[in-house]
Amino acid sequence: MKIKLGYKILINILFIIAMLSLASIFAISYSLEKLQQDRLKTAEVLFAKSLSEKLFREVIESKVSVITSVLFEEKKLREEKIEYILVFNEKGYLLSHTYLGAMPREILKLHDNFSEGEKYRIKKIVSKGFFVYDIAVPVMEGIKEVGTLHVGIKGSYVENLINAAATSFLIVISIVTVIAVFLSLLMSAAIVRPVTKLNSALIKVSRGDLDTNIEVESKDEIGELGASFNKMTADLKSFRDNLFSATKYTESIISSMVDALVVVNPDGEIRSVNKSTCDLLGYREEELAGKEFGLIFAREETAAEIAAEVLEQIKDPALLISRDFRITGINGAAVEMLGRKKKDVIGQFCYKVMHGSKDICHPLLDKCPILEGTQENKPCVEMHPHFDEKGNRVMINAAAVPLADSLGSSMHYLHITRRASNGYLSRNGTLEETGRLAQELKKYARKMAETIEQKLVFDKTGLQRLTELGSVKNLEVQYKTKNGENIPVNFSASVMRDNDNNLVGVVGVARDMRQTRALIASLERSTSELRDLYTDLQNTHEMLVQAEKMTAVGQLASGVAHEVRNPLGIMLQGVNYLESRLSNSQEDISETLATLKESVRRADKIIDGLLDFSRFTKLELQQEDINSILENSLVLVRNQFKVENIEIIKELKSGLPGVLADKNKLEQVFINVLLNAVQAMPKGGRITIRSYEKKLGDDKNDTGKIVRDNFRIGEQVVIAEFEDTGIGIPEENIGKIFDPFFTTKGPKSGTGLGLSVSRNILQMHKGLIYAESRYGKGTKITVILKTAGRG
Amino acid sequence: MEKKKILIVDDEELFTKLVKLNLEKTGDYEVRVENKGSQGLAAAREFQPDLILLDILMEDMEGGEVAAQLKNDANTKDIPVVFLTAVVKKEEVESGCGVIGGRPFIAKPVSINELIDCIETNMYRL
Repeated sequence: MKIKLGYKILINILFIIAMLSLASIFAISYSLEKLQQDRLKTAEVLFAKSLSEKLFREVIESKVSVITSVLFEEKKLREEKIEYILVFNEKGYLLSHTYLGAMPREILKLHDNFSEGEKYRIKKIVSKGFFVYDIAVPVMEGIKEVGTLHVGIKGSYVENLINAAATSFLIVISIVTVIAVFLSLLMSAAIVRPVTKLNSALIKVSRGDLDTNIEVESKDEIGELGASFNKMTADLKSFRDNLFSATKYTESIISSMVDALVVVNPDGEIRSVNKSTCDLLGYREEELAGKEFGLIFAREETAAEIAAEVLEQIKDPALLISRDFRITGINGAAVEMLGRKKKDVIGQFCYKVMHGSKDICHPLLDKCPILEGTQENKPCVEMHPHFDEKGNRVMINAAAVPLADSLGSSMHYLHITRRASNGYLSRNGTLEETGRLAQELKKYARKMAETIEQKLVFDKTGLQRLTELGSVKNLEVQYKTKNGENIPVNFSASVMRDNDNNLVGVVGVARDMRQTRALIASLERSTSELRDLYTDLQNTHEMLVQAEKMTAVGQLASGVAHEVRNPLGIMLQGVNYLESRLSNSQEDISETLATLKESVRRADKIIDGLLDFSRFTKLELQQEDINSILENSLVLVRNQFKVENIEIIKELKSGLPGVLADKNKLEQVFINVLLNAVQAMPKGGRITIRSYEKKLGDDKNDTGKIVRDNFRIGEQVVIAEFEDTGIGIPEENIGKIFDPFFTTKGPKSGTGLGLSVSRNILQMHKGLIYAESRYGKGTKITVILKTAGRG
Repeated sequence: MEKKKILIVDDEELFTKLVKLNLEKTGDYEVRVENKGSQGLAAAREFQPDLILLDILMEDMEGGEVAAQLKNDANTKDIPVVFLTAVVKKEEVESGCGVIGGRPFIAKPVSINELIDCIETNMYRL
């Protein structure tokens, strides 16, 4: 049963008061009786004594009448309290008494001698209807007891006295009790009130009303308690307010974040998102809460597809290898390196494909980075000798990086190979250099392995992988909006753990990359426009330089022509004159003169070539078939090929589109190129003449990326190729062969202007001529022409 | 048959001398030589040749200028002029004798036979 604190205190106080009152009543009534007896002793004993002293003579002489009268007198004076007065003589005979009628029998038994020295004796006599306090004193003559005197004090008188005192005392006690009760009520209220206040305040506080304050009235413990309480609630309030504002602050930071935030619980469900995420994806917050994390990702790719995508980003030959050494992924570069079809390689044992070994334990494979790596489970790089596509022996760095176990046994290693040096490994390739390249490769392989691991976070078992990784940074992934639109984002995420290292969740931040992408795209456009402009400028510049050169050469040519031809003219006239003066018998002189004329003609021809080079003659462009121009050119030089024992191989493609060309000029170019080839093969050989069409920009070093030329990537062109097996051109000369007056053939063989003129002719055709050569192996001249539409 | 009068104006003395020798040796031509443009003008008026061989690049006066002045003079305007030049391509002047821009040219070096062909071709051209 619940009793209020106030009542408890009240009951206790009342109980204490009642006990105290009872005790005091007993004590007081006892002491009152005592007091009465004392009073009897003093007042009544004194009275009895004085009476006995007054009567001792009469007692000795037994003057009964005298005694009796005295006794009655005395009794009369104290009628209200004295019941009787009796006197006994020394022998115990009742000498006198104050009774008129019959006296109670108890009186007669009162006589008793006093012992020596005894001054008085008080005796309470209670019988039926009779109640007295009997006071007895001896009657003395000198020291001799001559009788006894008894005074009976009415019991009722004494009782009345005591009762009166007791009554007044009870009244006092009652008043005191009432006051005490009242005070105790006040006190209990005083004690209980602050407690009640405190209690109700606490109830309020517990309901969250921290503005509750208690008025502190006293300075006692309760007051202190109240003050402490107030301080506590104030502290609590400020703490709560701080917490609240901190939470508010954090919330406002999160909600005003530009980046899209998502918090995921350990079960992979979205716990909360911020406004940016909602805006980005078109969901409301409550639509996303509790949904599976993958909902917001556009991940239709399988792990294998993601891995293949990353693999293709690797420029070096790269393989994914399973735990049991089978090839599970291969990139284009590796396919090219191996020279096999992708489908023939996938699923095969790597050692079999790479080294033709039947077994991974084959001694040839003691440098296998995968085996080395397996032992220590760390990235490893080793060098192999290897033969490149041309059959040259080169050193290959091969790096193998073990991938995270969670990627599964099919993706266990990333294996990347790279040439140990840029060229062929020669004796001057120092060990430090190759070591550095190996380290570079290892670093690169590790980075790409990380990229695969991170990218794969977003397949089906993504969250588990992310938990293993701890965090991913700046991944290029795609979010999927409510409307199904894919948005490229830059995604970073990290795993949240509590103090006991338990997984609490994952917090991810995504940045919308659309603008950045657009910016990059426009930047790329600008760059390419700029590049085009630069190309045009470069072309213009080249043309200007060329024109300037031509002007200078033209002036030179004119001067040379004038200065040389005038003396040639004189010589020819002189020879003519001498001829006219000769007689028929002087044949030897005639022959000499003929030689002289021939020499003049040859010199004249050089001047012609010079002038040809310096002139910008207009082309007569017509739609022509390149094959017929090639054939015509061949007809003109065929004899020379025969003489020099050179085999002609024609690989002319039929049905080529027509080219817009000046037939004669182009023939001049082809003849020039063919004659150069003849001269490059003094011991005979083979020339292959090809014609074909192609789309520019297919392979790495293709025309269309060269700044100087007249073509764009993707342009359809017609190509004529002349490949000989001649002496070739040393590398240092390859850049010079189109320069005017450059020749390796010696002064007798040519003017040194042939290829220079050819280049001018191609330039006027908006075409291109270039040479590739390997010294000692042969030269290939390529002529590229714009098409004039299919003819 | 009366000899044809040819005036050669060219600053190459040896060339003019040899051409004169070669032409006169045929017996068909009377040749006069001048080595300066200005003198060539005077000679043309005075000598009244049937044809003038005129070098283009001369030190004192260009052949083109001489030809223009000849055209402006009533006494000489009808005399045919064949230019001599070293600065043309042989292909452009057929067999040493051709036409460039409507004007007859002989390209140096030229043999005497080619020269005579060219003179005969242009002699009666107006």
